[in-house]
Amino acid sequence: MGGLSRKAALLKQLAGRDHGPVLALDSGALLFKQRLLPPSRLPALRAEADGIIESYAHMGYTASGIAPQDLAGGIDYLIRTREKAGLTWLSMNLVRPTDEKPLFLPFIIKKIGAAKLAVLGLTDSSSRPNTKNQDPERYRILPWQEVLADTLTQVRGRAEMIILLSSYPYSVNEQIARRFHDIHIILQSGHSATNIPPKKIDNTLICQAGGEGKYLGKMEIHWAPSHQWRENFTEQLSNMHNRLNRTNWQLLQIKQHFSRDQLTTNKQYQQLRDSANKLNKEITRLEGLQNQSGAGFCTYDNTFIGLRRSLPEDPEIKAIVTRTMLSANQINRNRLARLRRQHADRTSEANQERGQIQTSAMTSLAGWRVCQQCHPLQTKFWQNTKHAKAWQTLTKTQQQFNQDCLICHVTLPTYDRDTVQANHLLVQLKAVFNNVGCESCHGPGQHHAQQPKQIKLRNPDRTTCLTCHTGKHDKNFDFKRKVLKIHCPRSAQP
Amino acid sequence: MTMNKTIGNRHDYGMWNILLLIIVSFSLAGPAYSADFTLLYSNDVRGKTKPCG
Repeated sequence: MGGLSRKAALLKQLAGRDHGPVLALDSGALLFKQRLLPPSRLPALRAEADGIIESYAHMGYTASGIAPQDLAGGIDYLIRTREKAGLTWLSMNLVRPTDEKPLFLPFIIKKIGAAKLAVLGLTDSSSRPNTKNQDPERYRILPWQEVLADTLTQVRGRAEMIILLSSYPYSVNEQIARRFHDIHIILQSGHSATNIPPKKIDNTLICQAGGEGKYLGKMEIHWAPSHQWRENFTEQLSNMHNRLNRTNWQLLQIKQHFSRDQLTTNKQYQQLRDSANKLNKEITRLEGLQNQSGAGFCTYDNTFIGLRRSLPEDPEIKAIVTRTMLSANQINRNRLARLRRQHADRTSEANQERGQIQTSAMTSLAGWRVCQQCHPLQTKFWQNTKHAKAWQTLTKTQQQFNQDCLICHVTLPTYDRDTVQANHLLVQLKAVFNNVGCESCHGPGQHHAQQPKQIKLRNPDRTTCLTCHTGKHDKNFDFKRKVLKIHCPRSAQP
Repeated sequence: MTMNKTIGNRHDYGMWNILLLIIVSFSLAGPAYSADFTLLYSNDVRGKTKPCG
């Protein structure tokens, strides 16, 4: 959510420039990360989704498509947001099962400058509704083949340009583009981690801004009466210019080492000169075509703007995001406190019934203060690592009560999520186990502390790290490089 | 404003003709809309690689 305030500032800046009117659209996958959410986490995740919708309404987004991820909070939740938020949800194929009427607007017509635009929403029907979180009886997602032609009939003649917000994958969008030539732009969502610059399929441009909300796509459009996109050679030309620059540089290097006579017989030089000539000719040809086809055709200039951390933040949206994160954190905090009370009650009842003290996997942990008694050098080293501040990083992002996050930011006897959940390990956590401590890597140390010579602890290997440093959480994790940062110093031999 | 002012006894319709010509040529040319605008687009707002951040 942190990128929203930067996106808002950027939108304001772009809308404020003298570049004509601005239309801001989101193609979906706005509210939730996954299609399947643990029901216990829904209240906090819905609070975060509320903040996103509020921010979007303030940012002046005209509409958003609905991707299957947006349904993870339940159809009733999404319908409620439609009623209270200022953001228009679009989907032509998310329908009531009884009469197959759309639950949301299938399209809107919007006047931008001198042209009327139709914006249509299409939800990916290839994934089945999540029966755990949602009631599949409440809605159906019809396949695009059943709805798109009819919806297009309704907008034809009412708009000069048609934009489709689609959460289908590229292969399906390509089929749609080939079948319906009067869809001029398809903005895709949820199917690519990287930016997809506009690809022209017949007379449709398909594009997508990179995932994780890290980019904003900006297309400056000149819409002409022909309704036909001009062939765009910008990317090809840019590649050719790069190749030509490299070739010219190589030619220059060779020239510096050989005389003019030698160059006439130098095969490599001659080959490079031939390819430079060919590239020059091709560049001239494409530039000619690019300029020729300009008249009467629609043109666009597309860029992707990275929402870098250095960009300024919009104070209004930042305040919404901060308030949202605090609210979600409070929900998580209350939930954790409730689980702790329930666990304490259950344990107490069980102990009374059996007349014995129940042991927990947590009692196998000693805690870093016990380790420190015999390993002061190593403990001091650990205290300066990021592991020793792992829990604090969660407090900065208001996630220290979020159990999904907590597991990898504290010291536990195991990091297997199912075991941790089944044994309620997180609800038994004491403050000394906040942060990733010695026993996170070396294993539970209580027995070792009692019998240090007899019971040895493990030396962690790559697999130990990978329980938390998964591709999802740390995509560039390199064990050989990273292990050096946490490798404890050896004690001096007596 | 009177465009058809009389000069002597003859009416001067020159201005009317020009105006009529302009109107006719515009209507024959059809709806010659062209628009310049900026489309901003985004998706997948929620970070996927850093779910805790």
